[in-house]
Amino acid sequence: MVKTIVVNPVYLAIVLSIIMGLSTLVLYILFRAVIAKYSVRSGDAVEPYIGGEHPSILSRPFVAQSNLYWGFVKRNFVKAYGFLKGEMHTGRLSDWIKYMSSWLGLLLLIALVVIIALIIGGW
Amino acid sequence: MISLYTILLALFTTIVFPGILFIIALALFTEWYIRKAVAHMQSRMGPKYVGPIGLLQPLADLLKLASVKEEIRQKYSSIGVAKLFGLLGISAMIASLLLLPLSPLRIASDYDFLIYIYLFGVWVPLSIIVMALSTPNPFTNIGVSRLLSFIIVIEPAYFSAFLVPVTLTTYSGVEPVYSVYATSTHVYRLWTNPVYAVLLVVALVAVIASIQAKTMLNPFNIPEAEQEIIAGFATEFSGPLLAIYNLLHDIEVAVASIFVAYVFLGGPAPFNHLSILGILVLIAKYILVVTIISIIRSSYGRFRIDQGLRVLTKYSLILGVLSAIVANIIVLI
Repeated sequence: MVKTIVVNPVYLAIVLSIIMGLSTLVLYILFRAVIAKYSVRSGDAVEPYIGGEHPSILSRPFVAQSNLYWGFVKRNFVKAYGFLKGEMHTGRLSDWIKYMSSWLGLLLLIALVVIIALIIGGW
Repeated sequence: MISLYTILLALFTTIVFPGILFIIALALFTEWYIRKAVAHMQSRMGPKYVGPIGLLQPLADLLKLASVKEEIRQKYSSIGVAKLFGLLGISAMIASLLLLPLSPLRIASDYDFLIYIYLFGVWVPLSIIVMALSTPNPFTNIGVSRLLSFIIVIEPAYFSAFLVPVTLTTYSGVEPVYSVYATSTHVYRLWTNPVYAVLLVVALVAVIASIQAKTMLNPFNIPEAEQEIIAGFATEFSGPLLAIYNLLHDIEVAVASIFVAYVFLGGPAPFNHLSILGILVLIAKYILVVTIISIIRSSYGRFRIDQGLRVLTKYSLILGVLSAIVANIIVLI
């Protein structure tokens, strides 16, 4: 009836990879059985579909896809940037030293907490 | 030594239940249900003509695409590679079903949750991306770049949200640790603890939002964005290749929903699988998850990409990560 097997993770990864391969094979056979007799393929290879435009449009400059990333980052981090600009880039050396020492101080504090936690709790 | 019975059970599990045949049937039923539910909410009929109350319409659509419709072979495309990766994506989801108690052959191990993430969170998006890039097109490129932007937010959110019930179950003393199987069979007990229940609700919200985006349903159908960028990454899909993609998409919705029904809601709990009540409870939980997805789908128009990413960051990523951190702090305390 029902069987539950507990194995180690490596063995499980191997078993599931084999099952994945087996499923792909069975799906391929099923797929071939469905499409084999009736499938029609267009004879000549066609141009990419570009919404009815002339292919020359592809040579025009496009908006870079990286803009998607930078647009998102800039829009969401504009406040953080404003804060940094207001705190750090005031033109006064003392502001810069204050900012850097507070940031490095925070990192030092985190390191100390971790070290103390490790000493108390053990490695 | 593996017995012949285990091998036969593995074959049955892979091919019949809950493998290929069952999951295809469930995926097509889920597509029908979502179409019918959304149509009802929008005062339309939905699928009606093929089979009783249109139940066989998704199957008819699939067979039509696979066996009748022309496959347009574009100049720069590699249709074979696209089909292979489509089938691999479906197979990855089928393999992941063996981690659930639903399967007659359940295979579990410590940290099998990570293997689920590998199969569902890595293989499926990878398959869709390779399928799309095998049919190059300016619209495909835009669709894939949008999909990649989504993945950066969705996958950590999905992973973190799932980590909440898995961690809480592990620290309740259940073995194997960090296991999908162990979580599915014990998670219902966590709902009786009010603190855990709040965490589970927050993680559930995060996971539903990320599923909506993973499966590219409204309002997150931005990588496809029909009309805006033709069909996005699926612009060049046609005939049998489109049939494989549609099937992959339907199975993705079904597998995502069934994992939520098990890992968060406990599957047939408090009953067991082989009781009538257990089966009814499991179906009710599954339908509940799919209904929530359908309501969200029919309630919103498509977001712009920046809106979509912001909403996902807010309601999926931050909620998911925060709930995972709080869950870990609670169990460590």
